[in-house]
Amino acid sequence: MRGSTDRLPWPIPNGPDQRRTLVDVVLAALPTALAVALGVVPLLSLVVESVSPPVTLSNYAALSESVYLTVLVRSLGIGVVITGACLAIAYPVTYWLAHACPPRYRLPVLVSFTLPLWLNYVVLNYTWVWILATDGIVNTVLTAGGVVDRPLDLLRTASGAGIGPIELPGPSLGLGFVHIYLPYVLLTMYVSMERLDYRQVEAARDLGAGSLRVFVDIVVPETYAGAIAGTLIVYARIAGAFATPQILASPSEQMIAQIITTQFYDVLDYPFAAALSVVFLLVVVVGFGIGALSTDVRAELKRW
Amino acid sequence: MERGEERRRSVSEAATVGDRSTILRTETLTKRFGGTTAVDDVSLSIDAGEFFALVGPSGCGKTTTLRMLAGLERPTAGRVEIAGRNVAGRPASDRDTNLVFQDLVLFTHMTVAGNVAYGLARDGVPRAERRSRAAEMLATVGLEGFGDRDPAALSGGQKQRVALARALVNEPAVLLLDEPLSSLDRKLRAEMRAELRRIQDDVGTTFLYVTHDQESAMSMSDRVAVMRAGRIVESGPPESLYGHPQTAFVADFLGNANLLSGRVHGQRAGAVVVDAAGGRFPAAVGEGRTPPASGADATVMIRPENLRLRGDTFAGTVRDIGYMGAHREYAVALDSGPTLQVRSGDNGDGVTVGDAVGLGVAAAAVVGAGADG
Amino acid sequence: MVKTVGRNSERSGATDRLRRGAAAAVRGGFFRITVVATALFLYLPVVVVGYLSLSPGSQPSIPLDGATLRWYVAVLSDARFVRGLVTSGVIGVVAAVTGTGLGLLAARTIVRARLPRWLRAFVGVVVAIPLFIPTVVVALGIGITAGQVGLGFGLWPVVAGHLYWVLPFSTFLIASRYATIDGRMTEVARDLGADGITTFRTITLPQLWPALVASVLFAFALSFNEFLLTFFLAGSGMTTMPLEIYGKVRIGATSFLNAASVLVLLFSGAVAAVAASLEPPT
Repeated sequence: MRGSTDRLPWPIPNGPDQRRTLVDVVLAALPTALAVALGVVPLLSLVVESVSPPVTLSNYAALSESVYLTVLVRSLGIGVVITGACLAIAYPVTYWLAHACPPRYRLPVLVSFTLPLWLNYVVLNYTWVWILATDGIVNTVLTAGGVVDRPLDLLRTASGAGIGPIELPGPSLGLGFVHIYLPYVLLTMYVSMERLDYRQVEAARDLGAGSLRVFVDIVVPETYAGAIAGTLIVYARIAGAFATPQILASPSEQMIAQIITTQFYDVLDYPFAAALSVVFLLVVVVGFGIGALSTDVRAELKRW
Repeated sequence: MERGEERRRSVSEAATVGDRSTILRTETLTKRFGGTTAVDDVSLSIDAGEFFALVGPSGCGKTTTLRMLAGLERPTAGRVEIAGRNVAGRPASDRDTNLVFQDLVLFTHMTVAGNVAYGLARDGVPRAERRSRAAEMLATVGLEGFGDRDPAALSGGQKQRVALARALVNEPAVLLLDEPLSSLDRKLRAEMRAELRRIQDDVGTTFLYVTHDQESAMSMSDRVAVMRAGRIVESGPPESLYGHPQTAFVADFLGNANLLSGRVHGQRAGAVVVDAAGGRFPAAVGEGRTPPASGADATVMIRPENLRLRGDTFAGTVRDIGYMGAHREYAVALDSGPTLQVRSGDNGDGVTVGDAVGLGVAAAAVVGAGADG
Repeated sequence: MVKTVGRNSERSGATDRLRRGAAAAVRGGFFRITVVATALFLYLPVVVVGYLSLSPGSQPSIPLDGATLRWYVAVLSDARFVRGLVTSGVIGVVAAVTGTGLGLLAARTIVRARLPRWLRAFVGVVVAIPLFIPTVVVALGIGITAGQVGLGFGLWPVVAGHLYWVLPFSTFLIASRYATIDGRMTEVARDLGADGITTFRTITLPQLWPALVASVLFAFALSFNEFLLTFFLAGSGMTTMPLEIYGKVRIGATSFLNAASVLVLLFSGAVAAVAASLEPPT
């Protein structure tokens, strides 16, 4: 430091810069105000609502009933299973797309894989009814071909299988979910795959690594952060889905959004619906927190 | 419209009211970023029609100085007078300078003509006049008929010309150039230097050229200022700076220099005789400077091209020979200790590494002899 | 794949080459099968519904005994469904245009504003909330808040909800284009005499244009098809296309619904395809 500014001859005030900053603030304020009014305020009023009337924790106490816990655990479990399935499909597909697809087909293929993002998910779910119903395409083909004697129960049937607390979704629920959320995962995974330097793969091959080795040693370490960042979003969406289980789940596969909606729509118990939402949100946020523990993943989330 | 008129008026005012020929003057121009001083007390004075170069190593503050002149950076303190008006606190849009950026930054969403006419449109020049003046300016920079092209489809040299035309077309009082040639290859750069000079002669606009490349600075400019660590170290015509630098830094920065410390032995007209590194030879003092007294310590500069492989001023041994095509560079270790660089275009020396040689001094200069008398 | 084998062949022995060639072929086959299967998986259900929408009867039987477009006529002359379609369209346009405008402001704030880093990050996070928080929670929150401030249910809460829903998509789409514009172009413009607004009009806006149009189209497609938010906020006084379809799905699958689905998918698909051609994904 060489002495203060005011001792220099002809000091120059910060006039126009401050005016520009003011313009920036005003322009930033509009979208921020909307986002606060429709995002932050509702979340806060959910919390307030969940402890009313006046101030009580009874809504949260009611949550401890095993039926709600079961539904919450099921929703999160289905979120994990579907996200995993989407990733398993997206890895080879985006790898091919980013590194093996002829460049001129790359964009059309990517666009066609991501186009369903902008379609109506109620309609997309509905299409599976015609595939899986007792008189649907699959059963018609199977019975006509003599593969099965009686039509299979594929639509709105629980799988009954599970790993520990995680239930596997029934065929129609699983397919319907993957159908809607796979495009999200494909898009986010493609971004990571594209950044993977293919010369690393070539170098590994040249050193004698087989496909599995290349995948485990190069592809996964280079892309996992992007994969997690992208799937965190999808995971929260799946666990909180309403339309898909309404259309494609068996009655024994109720999910959390259905219960919240019933409390809001039919029972009109807003405080309890709010309490359910707050707990669900907290669980999801904790999930994000765990995912974001890795600095690589945090960096990816910032890119969003 | 108003601004254009105001601009023209201010130029004519400067010619009559202001200092007769000074078009740009800064006084104690200073820029601090937090605790560091990027530009420290810079006072410059540039004459109308001059080609002036501001040269220095990267990070010396020359680009910050230029951006303050353009109005893109706010000075912490100081005056910037352009055509007689102090514009130090004014924004870029309100001053009579245009800047050619280092990476040119052409508007990729416009045609070449659209780029060139941009400044005219901002001055409120009518559309028809914009078109004809842009075409005229494109012809001046040697791009006649390129108006409808897409800038992205041009070669590096052509882009330079477009950027130049865009900055010149609304007749700024001073054109500021921020190393615009640095992205060109060597040959094209040499070509563009000559072109810049020609264009400057053509339009008569004052050019302030910032670069770290001393060769560009010296080959084009009427005057050169050398900057170091935020300050101007020395300024003057290129020949005088190169031949009679006042500081070892400038001596070294503007070209290869052998710097020797010695002692003044005696006086001559415009020169002194110096004892240094075991040799005795005359060293020029430079016009208008006071020669150091006999017996005083002095630093002497000998350019490699001013040393001969024949003579008896110094004796030494050839340590290394570099073949540079047009000439050779020799490293000669003197018997008295220091190693001198010698440049010789003479291919028939027959000198090889390890040979003992005698060196003659064709010209030497005292560095920093009594600044400005 | 062939490329890799070719390069390795210079170095490896013949057996090794054969082994690697076979491995590469298997690898290529595996990838291609996965890609084709994924494409079929995404689009075959749509094709099936398209096929069934041609059924002469209201309950299609597989295979169809004939083909007719009568259900398309029925859908487009169904007053209630068309009303839902128009409502969705109007809400979509309002949300898309307003959302793109606000998205532009938010994108400018995140990418260019001369504000402290934390403030710009805050704007980014607040805008991104609907991406990360389950829609049902957002919907319930807005629904309860609308009730508390006396807005109740109906068109305005739905419009506001949709606007908020499309904002992050518009913001990040425009921001990614904004970031590619050389910031020094605005310096050049200012240097050549342009003020802030002129610089925006002549330099920034023309380069953002494709992203802005794509944002309007994508946001329209999102809003047009959004179901859950509307379901929570619409109340009983209004209907939209997705609400209509959902109501009919709950009753049962029919040829009417199949034809309606095809129309909706084709329309949204066309809008999104145009948007994607203007501003490709990623």
